[in-house]
Amino acid sequence: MEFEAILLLGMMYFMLYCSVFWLLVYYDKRKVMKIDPIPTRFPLVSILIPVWNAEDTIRAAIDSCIALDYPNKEIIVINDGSTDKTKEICEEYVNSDKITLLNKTNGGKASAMNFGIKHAKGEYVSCLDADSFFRPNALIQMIGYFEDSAVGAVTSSMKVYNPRNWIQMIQWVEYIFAIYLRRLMHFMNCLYVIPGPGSTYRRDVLLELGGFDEHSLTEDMDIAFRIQKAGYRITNSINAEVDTIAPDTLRGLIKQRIRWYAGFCDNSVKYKSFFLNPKYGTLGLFVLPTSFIWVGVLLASSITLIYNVLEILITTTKAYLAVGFDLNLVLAKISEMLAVGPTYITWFAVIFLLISVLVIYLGLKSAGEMINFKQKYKFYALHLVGYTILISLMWFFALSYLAVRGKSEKTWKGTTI
Amino acid sequence: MNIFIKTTIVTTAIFAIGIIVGLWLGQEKVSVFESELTSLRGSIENTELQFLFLDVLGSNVSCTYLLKQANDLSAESENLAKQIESYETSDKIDESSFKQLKSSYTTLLIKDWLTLEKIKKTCNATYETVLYFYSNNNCSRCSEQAVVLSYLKQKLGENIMTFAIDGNIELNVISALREAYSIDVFPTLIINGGVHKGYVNLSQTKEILCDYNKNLTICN
Repeated sequence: MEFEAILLLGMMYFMLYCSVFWLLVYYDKRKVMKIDPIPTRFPLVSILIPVWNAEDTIRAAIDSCIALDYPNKEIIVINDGSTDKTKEICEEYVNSDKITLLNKTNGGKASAMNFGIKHAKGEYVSCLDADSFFRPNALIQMIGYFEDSAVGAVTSSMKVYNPRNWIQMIQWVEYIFAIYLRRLMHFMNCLYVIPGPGSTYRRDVLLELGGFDEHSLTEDMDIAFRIQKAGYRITNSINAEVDTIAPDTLRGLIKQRIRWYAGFCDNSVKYKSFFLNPKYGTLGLFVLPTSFIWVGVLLASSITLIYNVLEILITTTKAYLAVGFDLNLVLAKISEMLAVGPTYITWFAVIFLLISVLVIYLGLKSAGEMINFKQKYKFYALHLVGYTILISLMWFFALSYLAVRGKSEKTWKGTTI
Repeated sequence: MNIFIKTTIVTTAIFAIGIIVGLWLGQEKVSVFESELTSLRGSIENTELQFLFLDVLGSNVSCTYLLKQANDLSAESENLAKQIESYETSDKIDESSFKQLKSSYTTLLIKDWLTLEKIKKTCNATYETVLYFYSNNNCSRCSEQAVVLSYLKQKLGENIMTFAIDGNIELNVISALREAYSIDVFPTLIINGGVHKGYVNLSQTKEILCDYNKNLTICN
C-alpha cells in the first residue's frame, strides 16, 4: 500500500476516534445535558465589563446586565482609555446609579479586568465583553455550580448575535457546535478556555492566581490553564446563554483568529507540562494532544482539497486548449469516472456524513436551536462548503504570524476588547 | 468500562468494516476486469485464427468479415481500456492485484494492435492505427495527448484504432517495443508505424493522419 493511502487511513482513524469519543460521552450524559444545579443561595456577583471604543454596543451590553434576573449583583464598567463616546454613554448609567464606572489608561483587556477585580466586592466575578449581551437567566443558571467548592469558573453558552453575512453565518454554526462540545468537555473536566463573554469566576481563585496575564494573547485561555493547574474545576452551563457580535469581515475574522490560534500555540508551549500528563486526565491525555493533530488534519485536508480542485481546473483548461469545448467528451469523462463505482473512501465518506448530520442534530438540540433549523439551513450549507477552508486559512495566518513575530512584540494592546 | 476502551472498540469496528468493504469492492472490480479480459483474449484468439485461415490456407474467410471482427475487437478493448484507466486513478487498498491485471491487459492490447496491423496490411483496410505510449509519472502533457486522441476517436469512429500503453510497465514486450521505436520520452505516438515523439497537438495529428488517408472526415 502506498504511503499516501496509509496516511489517509491514519487520518480517517483519528477523525473517527475523536467523533466516536464525543458521541459516546454524549450518549452517557444525554439525560443531564441540559440540567444545571439549582442555587440555594445568591451571593453578590460583580459583573465586569472591560470596554475600549465600543460606543455602538456598550449600551446594549450594560442593559443586558441590568436585565439579568439575578437578585444580588453589581455592574462595573472599566473604560480602558476609550477615545470615542463610550465614556459619555457609561456616565449616563452612572448618573442613574445603575453601574460603577472606572476609567483608566489603555492597557488591554487583561489589565482592565485586573483593575476591575481589585474594585469588585462580589464573591464571584462575571466578565462580559462590551460586544456581548447576557440573556436574563444566564447568571442564575451558572451560580449553582459554585456550591461545589472545587469549581473555580463557569463558562456560558455563546451564540452569534443576529448573523447577517456569510462570515457571521459560518461562525453561527461554529458557535452552536462549540456549545455542544463545551458541554461535553465539561463532563470530562477538560475545558481549557474561559471565553470573555459571560464567564463567571470565583473571585478568591482569581486573586490567588494573581489575576489575568496581561502579556498573554489569549488571557482567557491562560487563566483556564492556571485554574486547572491549581486543581480547580472549570464547568459549563449550557442554559446560560450569551449573545456576542462575531466579526463580520474577513479582515476582522483573520485578526481575531490569529490572536486565538497564536494564543493557543503560546499557551501550549507555556503549559507544555499538561501534555500527556495523567494528572490532568482527559485534558492532558486526549484533548490537548489531539488538538494539535486536528490542526494538522485540517491543514492537510485543505491543502489536498485545493490541490485536487487546481488539478481538475488545470486538466480541464489543458483539455479545452487542446481540442476546444466538446460536450460529448465531457459526458464521456464523467461516465468513466462514475463507472469506477464505490471504493473504501465511499464507505468512510458515508460514515462521516452520517456523523456530521448527527452532530449537527445534537448541536442544535443541545443549543435549543432545533426550532430555527428551517430558517438557518443555508448557514449549514455555507458552513459545510466553506468552514474547513476558512479555518485552515486562519491557521495559516496564525502560524505565519507566529513565524514572523518578533520576540519583543508579545502583546495585543488595546485590540482584545 | 473506560470510555477510551469503548471508543477504541467502536472506532476499530467501524474502521475494520471500511477496510473490509474496500478490499471486497476492489476484488469485485478486479474480478469484473478479469472476466472482461478473458472475453477480449478469446476475441483476439478467434480473430487471429481466422486471419491465419485467410493468410495460410486461403480459406473462404473474407476480408469483410475480418474487418468487422477488427472493429468489434477495437470497440471491446477500448471499452475495457477506459474502465481500467479510470480505476487506475481511483482509491484502492490492494494495489498488487490491479498491477497484475494491468500487465495481462497490456500484453493483450499489444497483441490486439499487432492483429489489427496484420489485417490492415492483408485486407488493405482504411483504418489508421495509433499506439500511444504514456506514463503516469513525469509526463506533463500526457493528459492533453489523451484528450486529443479521445477527440479524434470520437470524430473518426471505426477509421481510427487507438491503443494506450503505459510505457513504464515492466514487461519484456514493452521493453522490446521501446527499443524498437527508440521511445525515451512520453508521450510518444506510433501512427501507422511512424514514430512521433513528444506531444502532438490536434492539428499536427490531423495532418499526419490525413497524409495517410485523405478521405477521413477531418481532412476536409
